[in-house]
Amino acid sequence: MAEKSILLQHGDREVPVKLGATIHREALYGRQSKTVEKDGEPLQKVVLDAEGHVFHPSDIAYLPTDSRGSLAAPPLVQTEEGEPLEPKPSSFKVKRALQPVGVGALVRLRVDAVFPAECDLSPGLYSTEFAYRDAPVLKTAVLNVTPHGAFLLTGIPVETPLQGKTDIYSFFDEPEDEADDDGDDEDISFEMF
Amino acid sequence: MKTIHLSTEDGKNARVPLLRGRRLTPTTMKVTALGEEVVTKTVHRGNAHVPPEVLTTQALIEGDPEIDLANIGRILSDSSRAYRRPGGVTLEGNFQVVVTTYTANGDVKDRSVHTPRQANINETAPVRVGRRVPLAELFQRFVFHNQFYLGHEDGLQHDFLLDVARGLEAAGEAAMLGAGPKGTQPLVLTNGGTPTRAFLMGETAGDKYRLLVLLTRQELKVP
Repeated sequence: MAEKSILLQHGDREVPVKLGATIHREALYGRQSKTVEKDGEPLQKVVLDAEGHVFHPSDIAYLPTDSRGSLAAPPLVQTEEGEPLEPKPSSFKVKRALQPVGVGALVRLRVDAVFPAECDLSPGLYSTEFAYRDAPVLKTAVLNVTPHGAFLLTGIPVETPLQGKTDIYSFFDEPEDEADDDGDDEDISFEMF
Repeated sequence: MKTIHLSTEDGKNARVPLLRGRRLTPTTMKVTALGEEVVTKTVHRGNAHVPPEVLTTQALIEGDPEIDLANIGRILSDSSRAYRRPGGVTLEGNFQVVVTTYTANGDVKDRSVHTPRQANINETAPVRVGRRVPLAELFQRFVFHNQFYLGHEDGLQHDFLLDVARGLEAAGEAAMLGAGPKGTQPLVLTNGGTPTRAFLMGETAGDKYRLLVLLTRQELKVP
């Protein structure tokens, strides 16, 4: 199962954690694919430009450029406020701290990847930072050690405020998440229920 | 802002705001070495799509048959998706989108014409607070890929939601949310969106409450 190892520092103890390949939902419940058909025959997708030219999708490249159209490679990464962000090393290259956390750490985590893990830790929740590859921003990760196995869940922490009687909502702070709006994999069976 | 029509086990119901949590990681942007924001341009690669037999050594010495000189570098600023028959020239209309569902083993389970789903969280039939799951079990069984929270627009809604949060917190449980007439269907938050299971989790501090709607589409297990 395990393919790669990360090394975490838990107090004064080093904890190696073996990670397997990402567990995709499709591997658990199946997947869906959409085809466009006419008279029972599948059609081929093409790209139609404003002048009426038709291109195959493989003809199209997406290039990072500056405003004048010159290639901007390699682009640098910064925050919206203009603070430059240097790439931080992958978790497979450096040791990062691990500390026990409460269930609130999982409640606040918007999980985007799940890895099966093997480690020598007692059941509970442990928090660390994680980057599969070198990245300017590290993800938050929670190592969930359960009686039936351990899993590393990575994602983005979110804040949800307590609601008093007179709170004013910041309706426009967060853009809509496309992941909730895409219909690509709807109708996947929910066998878990 | 989304609105959810929520009903509790004792039959009380209200339409309340469903709000998105705030990300705690910085929003990043890509810039050039001069600090200019990088934009992504859609460009034609210039592949001429000529058959291999045309690409003889002599042809490559004498010219560039592999390059589509008329289009290479063309910036496509306003393009759209279209469909044609394989090998055909004319574009086709009046087509159907067919969805094929595969099992985890890769076998075809179902084929049907695609019909976009409608949001079902603010219908006449409210989203029901259903089966309870202890919190300790919840996070050992499910992966939560998104969180929303409930808010209120007036004092009555505040009191209603505070009661719901207190009940859940006191029991140390989360409640599954179900849509549809029987309250058993997964939630679809937006038109055309993906069905997702959801749990409601409550927390209070004095007369403040936090009611989280935790969305899950995956169990915490290996294939």
